[in-house]
Amino acid sequence: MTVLGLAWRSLKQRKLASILTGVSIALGVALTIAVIALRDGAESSYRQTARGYDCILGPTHGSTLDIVLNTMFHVGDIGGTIPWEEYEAAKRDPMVKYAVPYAVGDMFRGFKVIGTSTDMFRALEDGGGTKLLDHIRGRPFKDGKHFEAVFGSMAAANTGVGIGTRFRVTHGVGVVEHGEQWEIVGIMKPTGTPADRGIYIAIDTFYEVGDHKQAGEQVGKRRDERKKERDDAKQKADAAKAPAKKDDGHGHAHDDGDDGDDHEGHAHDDHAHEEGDDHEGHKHGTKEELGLSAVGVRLKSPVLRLRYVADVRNARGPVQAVLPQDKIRELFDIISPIGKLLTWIVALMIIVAGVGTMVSLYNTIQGRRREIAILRAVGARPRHVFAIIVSEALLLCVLGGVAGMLLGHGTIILIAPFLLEKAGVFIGSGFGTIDLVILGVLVVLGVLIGLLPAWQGLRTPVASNLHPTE
Amino acid sequence: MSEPALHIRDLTKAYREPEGGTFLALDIPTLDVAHGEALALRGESGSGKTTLLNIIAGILPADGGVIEVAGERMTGRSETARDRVRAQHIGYLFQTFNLLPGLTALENVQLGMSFRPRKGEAPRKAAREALDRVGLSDRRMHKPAQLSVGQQQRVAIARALAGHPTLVLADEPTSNLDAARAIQCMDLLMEFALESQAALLVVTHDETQVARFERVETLRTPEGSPA
Ligand SMILES: Nc1ncnc2c1ncn2[C@@H]1O[C@H](COP(=O)(O)OP(=O)(O)OP(=O)(O)O)[C@@H](O)[C@H]1O
Ligand SMILES: [Mg+2]
Repeated sequence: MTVLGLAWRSLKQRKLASILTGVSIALGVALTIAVIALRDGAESSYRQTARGYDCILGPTHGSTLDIVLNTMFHVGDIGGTIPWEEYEAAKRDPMVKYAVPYAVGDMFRGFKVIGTSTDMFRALEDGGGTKLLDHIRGRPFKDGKHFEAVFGSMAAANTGVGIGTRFRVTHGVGVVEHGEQWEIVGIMKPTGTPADRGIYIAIDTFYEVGDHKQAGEQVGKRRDERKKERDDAKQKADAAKAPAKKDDGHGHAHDDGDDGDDHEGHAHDDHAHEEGDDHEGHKHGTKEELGLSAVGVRLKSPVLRLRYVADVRNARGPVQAVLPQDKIRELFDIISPIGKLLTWIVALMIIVAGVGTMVSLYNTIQGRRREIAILRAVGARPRHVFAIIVSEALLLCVLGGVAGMLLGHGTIILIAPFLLEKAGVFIGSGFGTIDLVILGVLVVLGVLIGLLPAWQGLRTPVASNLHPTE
Repeated sequence: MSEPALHIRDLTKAYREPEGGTFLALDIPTLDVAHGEALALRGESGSGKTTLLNIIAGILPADGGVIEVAGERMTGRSETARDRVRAQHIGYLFQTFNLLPGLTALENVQLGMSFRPRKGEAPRKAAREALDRVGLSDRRMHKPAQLSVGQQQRVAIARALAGHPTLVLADEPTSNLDAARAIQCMDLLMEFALESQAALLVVTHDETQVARFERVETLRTPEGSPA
């Protein structure tokens, strides 16, 4: 009979109390593990996403955080646009590997429709470094005026569409649909990034949308803004004469090339334009008129970041360059204390369960005086008695803790696919350092809560308890 | 093994009285028990028999005098040291058996050897043999509550003797049993002790039991004590 064996049998003697205290510890541990996994999952999916672009170009008067959140996380509104020319300029910049245009404003069943280019699928990656392109089942849409769409996994799952489905979009959260139809040619597998929440169409088709009255007002507003911006930009350009002129020249040359490349598409554009004009002229408008929400920029090397940002700043154009990683870090400087607090609150549950275990164990000692006296009579030294009682506390904590870990990780494994699909958050279910930390804490906790009952057991007089009088 | 199994010289023990003051419970000038010897100890109620066994076992400290068990000092030593001597050399048998209810018969017997500083043969094997010896080979996995009273005392005998102690102390071991079982039980205890060369010190009131011992000592309430 070892000390541990005796402790185990003693726990078995008080099965119900042991199970209840063990379960309370297990629940505390499971909850802690689940909260930590959720927190880390959400945080890493944010950080991961922020890694795709070195820099984001957005309107100068927009909040930098809004620019990042809107472009990369599809939440909120930038509240302004940048000229199409800025996208062209970014594409031409020798430091830039990918320049990805973003035009937003349309929705499909509550999910944002994003006008972009296929470069987005090349520039962005999932947590494991796999390009979004490789996550597409089916195929990416074709750049140009092809009415095709790729759905993020969450957008697809929640709208109940499949490859081949045709759909119309609504402007904003309005209920009136635009006339154009897109065909879904690809659906992304879950990536655990906010890309799962988006619906992606070729940017050229975004500007092809015929409009109705309600939307027209909004577009009109935008147009006004655009005009003001352009005026501002012109003034600035005039002020900084030389670089602005250079840029203009380049832009035109490039546009010409584009026209040649995509002749068929352009014809369609003209056609749609006319058609739209016939119907009171309510259209999204041309890309030159409407501009973009933002441009995601992936540089040839991250070390170019500061140079690129400085270039953009020095050009004094109507755009600002935002470093998304910095913004996300700032965001988490605000959010993580809350997450930490929550973790501490659930971790406190373990301590509370531990105190409950101690009280339960302490209460048993009174009833175990004879048992302790018998152990002593057959030769157990006080330290054996002490060790047996501490071991009981330790067993409750460690076994409860292990059960809690299995429960916590099991729950995560069960809900992870659901979370990934419905919330776009990827949570890892593997055992990690946190489990070792929790186990270490439980061992210390077990010893601590065993001390008082064990000390009580230690002081049990032997002779008077060998002959029961009660 | 020149020294006796038990050697007592000028042993005294006084209890603190609840009303204050002390009261002399034991005063034994000399008592020796040889190896393998069986001794019956009798005395009226309150004469200090249980107190004596507890002091010999090291469970209670003595106030004065010397006790040696198998040549090892029991008096004037720390509680831990007394615990060691008890674990190594003494088997203790109680009127109320004192089996642990959560352990099986086999585990209870094993328990008697679990805290020995020097473990002899494999405790599990020795425990099994001891249970066989008391005729309970088919009751190893039973808990005390699943055993008859006589069987419980046989488990207790097995526990006291399984580790081949130098000295077995028994405090009215048969007073909870009926006459026929009491005789069976004492037979078993005496035979088992003889086989394993253990000295036997049995406290008993039962005159028919006393008659079977070659040596009998009577404990008297010390002079000057109110009892
Ligand atoms: N813890 C104690 N404190 C004070 N007095 C005690 C204590 N334990 C025993 N005594 C007293 O010591 C005396 C001897 O007690 P003990 O139990 O040794 O008697 P005993 O010979 O075993 O009697 P019995 O045959 O009835 O079992 C008694 O008078 C008893 O009241
Ligand atoms: Mg007595």
